[in-house]
Amino acid sequence: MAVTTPGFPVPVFAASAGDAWGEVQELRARPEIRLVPSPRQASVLLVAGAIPSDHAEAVDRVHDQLPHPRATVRWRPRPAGLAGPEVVVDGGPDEVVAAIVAVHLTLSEGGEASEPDRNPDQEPNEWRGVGPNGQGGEGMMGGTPYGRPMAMTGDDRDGLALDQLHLRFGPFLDALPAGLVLDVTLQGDVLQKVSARRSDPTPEEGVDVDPGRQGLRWLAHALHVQGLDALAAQAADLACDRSRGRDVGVDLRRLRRRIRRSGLLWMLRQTGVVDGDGDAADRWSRRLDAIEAAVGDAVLDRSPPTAVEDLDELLKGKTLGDAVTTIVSLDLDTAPMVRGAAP
Amino acid sequence: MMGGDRIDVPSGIDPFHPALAVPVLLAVVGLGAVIAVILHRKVASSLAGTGGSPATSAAAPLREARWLARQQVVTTERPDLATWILAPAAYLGLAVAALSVVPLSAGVAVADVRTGIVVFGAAEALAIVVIFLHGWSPNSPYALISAYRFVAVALSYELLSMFVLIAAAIPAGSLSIGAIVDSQAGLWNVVRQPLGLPLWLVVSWGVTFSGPLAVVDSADLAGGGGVEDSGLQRLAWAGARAAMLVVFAAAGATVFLGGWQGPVLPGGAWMALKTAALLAVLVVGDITLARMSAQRFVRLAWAVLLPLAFLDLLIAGLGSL
Repeated sequence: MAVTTPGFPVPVFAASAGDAWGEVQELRARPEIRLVPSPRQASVLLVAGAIPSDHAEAVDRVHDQLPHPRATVRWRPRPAGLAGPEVVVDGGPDEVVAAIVAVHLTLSEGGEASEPDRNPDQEPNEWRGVGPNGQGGEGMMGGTPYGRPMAMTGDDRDGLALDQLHLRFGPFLDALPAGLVLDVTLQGDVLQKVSARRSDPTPEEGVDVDPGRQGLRWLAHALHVQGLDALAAQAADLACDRSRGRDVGVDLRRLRRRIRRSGLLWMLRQTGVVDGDGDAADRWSRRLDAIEAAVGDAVLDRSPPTAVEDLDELLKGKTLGDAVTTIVSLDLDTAPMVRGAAP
Repeated sequence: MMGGDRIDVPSGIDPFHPALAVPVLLAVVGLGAVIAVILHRKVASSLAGTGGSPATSAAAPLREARWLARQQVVTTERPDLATWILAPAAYLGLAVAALSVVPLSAGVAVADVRTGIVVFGAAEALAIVVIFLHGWSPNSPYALISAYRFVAVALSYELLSMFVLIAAAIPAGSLSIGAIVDSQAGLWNVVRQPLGLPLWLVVSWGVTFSGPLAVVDSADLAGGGGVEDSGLQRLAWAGARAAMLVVFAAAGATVFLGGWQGPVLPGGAWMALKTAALLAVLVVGDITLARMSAQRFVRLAWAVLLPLAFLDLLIAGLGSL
């Protein structure tokens, strides 16, 4: 087959397991594809790494959110017992990018049928309704029809009685580290209750341990979340360069200047304040220092990472946007880059 | 606004024939939007160091548009389908309506009415409603939260817009944008009222939710207002947004950079050059400036930017004494 390209970046949604999350971040440097924040915006679903069995259902749900025509590319092991027409890649980033582009081309030429839904199009639970309107709650509100908690009003910090929404974020939310799941109660966009967990600890073996590269992967993701995708691509590119053994010190300093000029560190001030750990801007500065030291093969002393359980208290009362900014800035103790970087 | 309002048109300025106005405006806005998107991709890829790939060529956005036009439009469970479909059309419609009062060259405007900046401001204010509805419609928490976030930001930038436009109208002695351009024959407003253009950039980023005010379709909320958009929905929204950016660049060029005025070249060429220059500033800012949280912007807007807008008004008033 002649080598052709779609001529625009193929929109990909990545569902990454912890062991592949860092490598997926490096794909932000690739012009042939674009990692999009929502599955609705993608034509290819990239399932990367060894997805733990309790997240398999979440992968299927994400899959069914992609618009037709759609296809799946699996990067590394196909889980036992899984059948399907998916493309499985067992190589490096070049192979996976080539596979994504090829799959997209096949879709656009209509050569392969679009993948059908994996879940039946029906309610996750039965109706089980009681109450005056059959919904299971009080009056017109509350209850859990079809297994979904309905909004009920409740007091909030401002003395208003707003509806409480019960939502789950993760495990494949683009803005969060791999495998992090937040069960939250929202009023407006303020988190009233948070329960954070991470059921996908990164396996030690096979994980890259170069702290400089790990730090640059974090930087690529964090810049993307803060809306600086062009800088995120540079950070990802530096991570790739680092893995090829190139000296990235000069380029990293240039990237830091661009980050400073973007106003990001000013925007992050007083956001995500943690006792004894400063605000998000302080943490970004320290992490950038640590990355710069690491690519010079020096090691900086680092403050102890934050436990995932501590997020419950840390995020309470924050807006959803600030909560995401806070999580991204934190050194979470189960994040892959921390495991690699810890001495 | 067009044919029926001839009474409002200052003498000497012939509006386009009503039958021509809409296609002409759509063509101007459509071409501008394509240029804006290509410019955005080019600047982003050169900054990211990924230029030279076929995926970052000038034709890439058009190829992507063709792909999106063929993609399935997914709907969610119990969306407000009518407003979801109408939001991009209304947003584009408001961009076109706003452009109708902006003269593209000397005497070349669809409706350079005496109340030009009022019409422009009204389109801008209604855009807030449309952007909110776009987030509201899909019945999805990320989209809804981003819509609320936007309204908080919008109420704060909207006031800036009113003050800088009124300041520009003071030396002209008229609310007509054509008259505002005429009043800059000796000295452009960008010099006479130096605070106006920077504040206008903030307003432009606000109404197109880009740059530091990219609080709507942002990555921290999984794509925010666009989280559920696919296919044509996505294409329409992106296109309307690029069109709005062009309209704000064009308005900025008339209000602050002397519009069609300039030596040698014809007025339309000056207008195109000035619009392109402002568009480039807006696009580069969109790519290189970090997103501000809504709370931070609201604080900044009321504590710093709004007093600056008052000062702008004061400078304009004193200068006209």
